[in-house]
Amino acid sequence: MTAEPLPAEAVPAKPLSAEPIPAQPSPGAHRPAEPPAPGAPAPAERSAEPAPPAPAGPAARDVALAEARVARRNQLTRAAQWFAGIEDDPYGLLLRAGRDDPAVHEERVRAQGPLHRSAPLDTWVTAHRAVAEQVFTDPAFDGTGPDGTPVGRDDLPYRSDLLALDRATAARLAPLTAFGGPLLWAQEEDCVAQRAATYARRLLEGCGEYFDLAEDFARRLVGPVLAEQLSLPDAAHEEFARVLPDCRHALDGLVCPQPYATARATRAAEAAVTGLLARHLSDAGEDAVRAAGVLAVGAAEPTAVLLVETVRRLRARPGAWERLTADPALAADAVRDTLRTAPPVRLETRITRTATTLAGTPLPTGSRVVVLVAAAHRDPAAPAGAAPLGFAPDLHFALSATLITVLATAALRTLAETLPHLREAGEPVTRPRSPVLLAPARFPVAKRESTPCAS
Amino acid sequence: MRVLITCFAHNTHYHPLVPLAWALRAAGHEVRVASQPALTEVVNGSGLTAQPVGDLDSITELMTQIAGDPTPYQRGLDFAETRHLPYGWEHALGQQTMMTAMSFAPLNGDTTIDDLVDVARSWRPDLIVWEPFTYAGAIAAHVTGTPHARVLWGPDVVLNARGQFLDLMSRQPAERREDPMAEWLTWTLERHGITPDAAEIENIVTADWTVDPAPASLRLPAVGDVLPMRYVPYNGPSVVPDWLRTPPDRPRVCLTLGVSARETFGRDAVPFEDLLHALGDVDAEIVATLDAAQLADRDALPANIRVVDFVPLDALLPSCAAIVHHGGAGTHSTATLHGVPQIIVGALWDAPLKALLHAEAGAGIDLPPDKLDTDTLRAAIIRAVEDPALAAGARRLREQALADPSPAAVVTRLEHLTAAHRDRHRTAPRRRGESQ
Repeated sequence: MTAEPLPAEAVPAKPLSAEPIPAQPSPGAHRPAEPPAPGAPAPAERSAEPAPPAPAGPAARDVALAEARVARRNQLTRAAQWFAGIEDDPYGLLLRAGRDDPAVHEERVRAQGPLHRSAPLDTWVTAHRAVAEQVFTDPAFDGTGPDGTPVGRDDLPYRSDLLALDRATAARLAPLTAFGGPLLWAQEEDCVAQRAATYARRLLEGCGEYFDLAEDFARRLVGPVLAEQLSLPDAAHEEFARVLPDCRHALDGLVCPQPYATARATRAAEAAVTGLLARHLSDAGEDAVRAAGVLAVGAAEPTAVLLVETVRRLRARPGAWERLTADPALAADAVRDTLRTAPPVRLETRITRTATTLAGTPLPTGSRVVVLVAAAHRDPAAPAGAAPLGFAPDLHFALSATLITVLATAALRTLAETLPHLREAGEPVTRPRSPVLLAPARFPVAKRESTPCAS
Repeated sequence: MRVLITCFAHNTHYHPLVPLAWALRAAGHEVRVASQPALTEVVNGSGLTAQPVGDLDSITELMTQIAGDPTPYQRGLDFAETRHLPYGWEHALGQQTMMTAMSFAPLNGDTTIDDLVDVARSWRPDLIVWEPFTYAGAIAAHVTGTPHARVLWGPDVVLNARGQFLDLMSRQPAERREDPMAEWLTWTLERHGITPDAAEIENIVTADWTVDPAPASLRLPAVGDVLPMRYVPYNGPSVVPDWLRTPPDRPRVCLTLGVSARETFGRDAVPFEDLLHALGDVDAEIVATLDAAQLADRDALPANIRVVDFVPLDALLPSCAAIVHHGGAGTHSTATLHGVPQIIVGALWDAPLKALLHAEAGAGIDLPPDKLDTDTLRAAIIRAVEDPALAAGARRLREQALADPSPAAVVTRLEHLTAAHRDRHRTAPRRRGESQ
């Protein structure tokens, strides 16, 4: 198989710094070169959308008031999650997503039996593998309720529209995103891996001696690869690669309200992705446009998280990174190991379409059930040798799971080949309000071993 | 001057503003009180001119969401904790998250804010005075470029928590910073054509200055400019009952939950009837403010218990040796002014902190609700009546209070401060506000 030549220049490693200020996507991307001095005022959060103009009339005022109402509801939902945490509800503490180890709260859920009732958040939560498997396969559960209402729609007004699909839709759209088309031009996994490696090398060449593995590399990779795979016209690649990383909050936003500016930026970015795909893929039909959007938004951030987490784990185990650089083909094993022990998607929510019984507990129609995926992975009661749960197979990951794994593996392999002396160069920071992904906000690295100063 | 006084529609929050409003009026200033229409009668009852604005929809909505009872949510605030535990980022962020979403935003509904901005534009006050929850007043002041001041009714927990929060936030990595209060104020001001920077946000939060009616020992560290003012009680329309003409023949103890706590929450934080029966053998006259709903059988009470529906505390407390209360604003301030040792059973908002402050000042007893039973209450009352140290501590607080300037004496200071802040406000925000 021969890779086609690159259709366009690779995206520069730091497109954000070249952007004019109004296009700054999200607070997470406002990464100052140095932490501000203590006591310096916090940078005011600015939205990707321009500040709304002063009301010009009653209609504009109504729009502004409706937006304020949504923003208030968003904050109130967050306050309810804080309150649940104060009440020592383990699910509330997971959603609070502070600096504490989520495994502690996950194990408290497990200790309460197969199904924990989070009363303050009106949610059933499980850490048991068998229960998780039932939730993912039993037709009584789905991504949306009987009336098609997405899980948490009322409580999470800025929820991603693209990722709020039900099982029937996911099953219909999934074949569209298979290798070999109709959407992806690569005929097979190897081809995508090779293209990803090419882009990864370009990105790394563009990175300086010191760079942010999360922001400058992991988040910049999926956009150009997918733009090419979706055969978007060259002129659209840059915009697609620029806006896709700004959808990074979509998965966490499914259960955890994001700050107002972040939520608005995410909404704007998702609208930009959808609009761009609609412009360029409309000939392929409505389903193809939607499938491409679900694939892109569903794959982008989990790929980045999976890659960074795998690097972090390899670097943390003595000799592991060196073994990989000696044999980069081990990248696939390393990614699989992360998927098994530290899956990038830790929470999955379903709602009951019909009354059913789960772990002996009768659940009425419309009940909300959360699977603690990471905890279910390490369930000591799971049968020995059980396959990793991986990504939940029934909803949007039916479209993107394969691609995520292929891209993360290719990126890791390229990283190991290109930068064998990669090392940490600063404190990594986890993003706040990221209970689903525990996403890295930054992961500073250096390309070479530090040279000891002569003394 | 024209002074626009703003307070969301709640008696307890409005009453502490009234004597200052009177003082301004008596000095010849024009005074209007802006609140939701629900407060109009109360404002008129205090002899002041009402300016109805907005509605109570957002408050009603919140009360529905929390089933009418804010008590459980107090654990998320826990202002008293600041004095005993290291104050971490998570706690500070939680406070801001819950205060904004569950207090400040709902108490200042969007229609109320926008209506108040309109009123400020049309009436053009020289000064906007706001009750410390009523950020609508600060927002209207900012949009119209008007000097503005807060008038406290208790320890300044909001600004102290805010100060701690800002300090802790500055030490967080940039990506982990979030500020729910600034977030709310930002989208609100954007509706009025202003995108505020951090300094503007903090000016709205802190006001140009703060009028603090607490005696020095009960004040938290000052944030911004603080103008001390003697608390002058206003208990609402009051009639002195005849029985108060006769001095008590033994120590008198007032036992009250506060009227507004009863009216607002519809239930007692503390089970009351058992407590009263346990006080039958205490050598004191217990004056208990209760209503029929709180007491099944009034006649069965011990002889030393006098039950009254309402009595103006300003009239009652000079004859009292001690008071047991829930830490409500008016009750606490009136008892402090009259030098009465206080047993504070504090649950809501700043009440647990007030209880601590009185205990630390040697002027009262901190009796947390979860420690309250018949024995602890009985022992606390006996100690409050008999311990001369507590009486001396309470007298010291009274002396401090009396040393602060009265509302009438504060008026001149307000005139000067208003003039001093006028020019600064008439720059950017005023221009933006009037360009529409």
